[in-house]
Amino acid sequence: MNDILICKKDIGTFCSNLKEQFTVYGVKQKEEGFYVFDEIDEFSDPLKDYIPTILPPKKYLFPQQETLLRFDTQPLPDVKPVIESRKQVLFGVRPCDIHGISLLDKIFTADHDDKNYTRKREETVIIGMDCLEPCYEHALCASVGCLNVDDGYDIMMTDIGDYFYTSIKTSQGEEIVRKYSKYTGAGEEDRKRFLRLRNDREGKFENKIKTDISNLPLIFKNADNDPVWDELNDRCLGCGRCNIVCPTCYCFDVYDCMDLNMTSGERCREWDACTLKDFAVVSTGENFRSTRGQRLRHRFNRKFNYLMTRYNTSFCVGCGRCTRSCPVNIDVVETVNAVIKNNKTDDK
Amino acid sequence: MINNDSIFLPEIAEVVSTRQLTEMEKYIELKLKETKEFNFNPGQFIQLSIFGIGEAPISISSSPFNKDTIGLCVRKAGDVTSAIHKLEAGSYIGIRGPLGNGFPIEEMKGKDLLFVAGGLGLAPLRSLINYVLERRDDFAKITILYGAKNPGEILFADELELWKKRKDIAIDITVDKPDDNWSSKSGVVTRLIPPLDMEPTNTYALVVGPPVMYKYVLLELQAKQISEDHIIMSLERRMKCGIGKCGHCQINGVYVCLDGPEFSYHTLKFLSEAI
Amino acid sequence: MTKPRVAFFSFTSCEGCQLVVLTIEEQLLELVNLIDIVSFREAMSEKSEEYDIAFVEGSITRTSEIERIKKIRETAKVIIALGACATIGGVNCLKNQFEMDKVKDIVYGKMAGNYETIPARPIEAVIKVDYWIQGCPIDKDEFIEVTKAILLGKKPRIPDYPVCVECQMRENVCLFEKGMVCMGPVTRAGCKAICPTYNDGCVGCRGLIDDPNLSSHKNLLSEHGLTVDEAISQYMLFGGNSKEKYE
Repeated sequence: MNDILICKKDIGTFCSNLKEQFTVYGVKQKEEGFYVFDEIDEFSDPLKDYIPTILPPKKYLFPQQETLLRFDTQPLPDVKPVIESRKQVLFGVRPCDIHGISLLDKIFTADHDDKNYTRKREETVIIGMDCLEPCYEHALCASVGCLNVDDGYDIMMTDIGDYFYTSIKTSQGEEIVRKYSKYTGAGEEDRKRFLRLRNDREGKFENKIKTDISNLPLIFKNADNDPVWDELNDRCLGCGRCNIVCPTCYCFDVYDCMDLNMTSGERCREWDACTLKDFAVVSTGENFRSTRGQRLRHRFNRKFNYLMTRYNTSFCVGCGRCTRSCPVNIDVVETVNAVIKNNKTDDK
Repeated sequence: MINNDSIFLPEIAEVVSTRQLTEMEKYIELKLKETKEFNFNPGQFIQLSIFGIGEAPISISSSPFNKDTIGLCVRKAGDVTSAIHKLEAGSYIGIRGPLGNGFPIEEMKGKDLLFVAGGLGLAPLRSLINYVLERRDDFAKITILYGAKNPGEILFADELELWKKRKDIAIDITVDKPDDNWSSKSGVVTRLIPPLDMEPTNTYALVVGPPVMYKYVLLELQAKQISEDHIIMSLERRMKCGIGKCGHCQINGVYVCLDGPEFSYHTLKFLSEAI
Repeated sequence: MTKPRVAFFSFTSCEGCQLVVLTIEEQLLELVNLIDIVSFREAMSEKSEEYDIAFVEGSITRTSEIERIKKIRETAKVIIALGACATIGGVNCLKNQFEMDKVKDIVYGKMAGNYETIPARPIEAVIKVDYWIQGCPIDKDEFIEVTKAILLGKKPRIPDYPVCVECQMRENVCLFEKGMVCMGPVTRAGCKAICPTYNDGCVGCRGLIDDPNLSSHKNLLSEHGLTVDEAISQYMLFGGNSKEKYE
């Protein structure tokens, strides 16, 4: 389907029409300056200027807590998988978060499909909202190659004034646009305007990381003993917020919860965080990352080295949530640049 | 097997026998209800479920030639392993697996093998030793070194006696703290390495024991000039999923569950948090 | 299987945690299928001196209480400290900052001579404790979790991470970002971040996590305008018994 225009005044109707078939999640202002993804009834929400939500939309694909199995132990154990999903639309997802979801797709389909994730993902329509201006000072999307997004969404909308210039990526995207929205085909002038705005944004997003990011895995690999980890060890509260708000953090704990009849129950998973003390403790009590500095080093390495090496792409999508949420101002850009400065190898 | 409907869904297995090996270790034999033949490589592990208590990774201790049952040697350490100790024959539990890769048996063929087991490390090695003894002609010289804390903690004592009687393998056992009835060697297992006569280029060392043991064993093996990629060690980490999702067992860039749990020292020496 | 006999005991406290136990309603009915409650002053008049499991609310603030709690320890196989007064000493420890004679004067005036008091302490200062249910008051789900864990013979799933984890999972706006102060970063979670969720700073009623970064948290409090004394008094409200950690 060719690109189309959706008039801004029609966006509310589009959104409420979607509710015939989907649960629709969009962005709401929670308190001044703080946004969340939430179920939306009427579309009166900040589509244009919102900065990254407190939690990324991953919560609709990989919820904070989730039941995996339901079991009965009597007379013999009887166990059934629990896989919940429903048709849902994520409305107004920024490029950074689309990249985040694409990375989770890789993780949860690698080697073995995690059906609790993939089933939800299959039933999810993503309507993206492109960025033409940096949203806030903590964003580093352009620095980690996540401003431009070519995949991982069904529909992408760009604000070109009175209209959203809308590109359709998938057949599902086409189907819902045809079914639920009022639109007109985009003309040559509209296309030019769209391309000019896209072009203009290039200069507006600063490259904050002081090396080509493809150098980062090697730089981090050699930075195990960098003093920056000692400094962060003193400062980090070990509160886990940077993990919780990260679009690409997916570690989880699994635990059993017995019902009060003491014969049936559930096995559940819950978000876990590698910056928390007990994350790498084994049953004999040994802690393989016992200091906050080691744990934070692990977290940074996951984003810029370990997973980046394994999947050949940055696992930081540049949303800046970790920096914003850190109570003691540990800044992802400052930290990465400090590591680069101290461990600069010859550029490739 | 990992279930296609849910990676978290275990298969039900019956406990067919249990045997208290020591005060802290119990041997249990399991039979899967659906799967007829349980195929695995020595060194692989399973996730064992006690419903309502939880799941824990446990290495397989039985011979891979025995496909009817799965033998596990379980030390009482956490909630799940304590609950396993209370199980009796006829109880039912859940199993996911086999997980991980196991020892690189193909590479090891035709080579001299040196087994170094510390404490519970004999559990996964026993599976490999049983394999090797069954296929004795595929391997050259075989030496087994085993160290336990005290005579009361020696695992599979009856089997060790049988191995001792064999002429085609060498076996040496030591305890850290001997008692009055102990007439064999005392001291840590590392001390058994220096006197060995080895052909370093033709030897694979298979080492499993507590984390503290690895450092010292490595020193001795390096003194014998065994190449780093012929030293294979098995690691223990916290695991929740066993298939590379939950993140708990990650050491730098590798996942113990997916990429291990056996690794060569050549791999481990580049991992800062491994040993 | 015979049902374990369970008793509740009150020491120096408001008995609010036992009140929480009474509010769990339907689940309480399921619970009594599993346990025999043989002594529970707030709920029933009968009482028994034979019990397996003892839930103890309150801190130890008089010498007579020391004898009484030791007796309970001799009888019970399992002892659970119930709520902040019992687990960490709680607000009762505020008085420990003063001389005991002065405390009595302030509270009882002319009658002070008729009373006896000692510095307040959590019950584990006197006896061995097996389980801890934190909070002022306790969280009812945690009470059920601990009770089930004891019956199942497993470790209860009690967080050893800070309140921030639960607070962030609920997608709250961090109070520090709103210019307020909060004990969340050093306080054990398990309360589902109830106070920050209702826009109140955490006051630390569940005690410190095992490995808090107190110096960094203190800096954070001072950046938010608290003097050293004000910061200390934040910690002291519930944590007077572990004063040495803060100073």
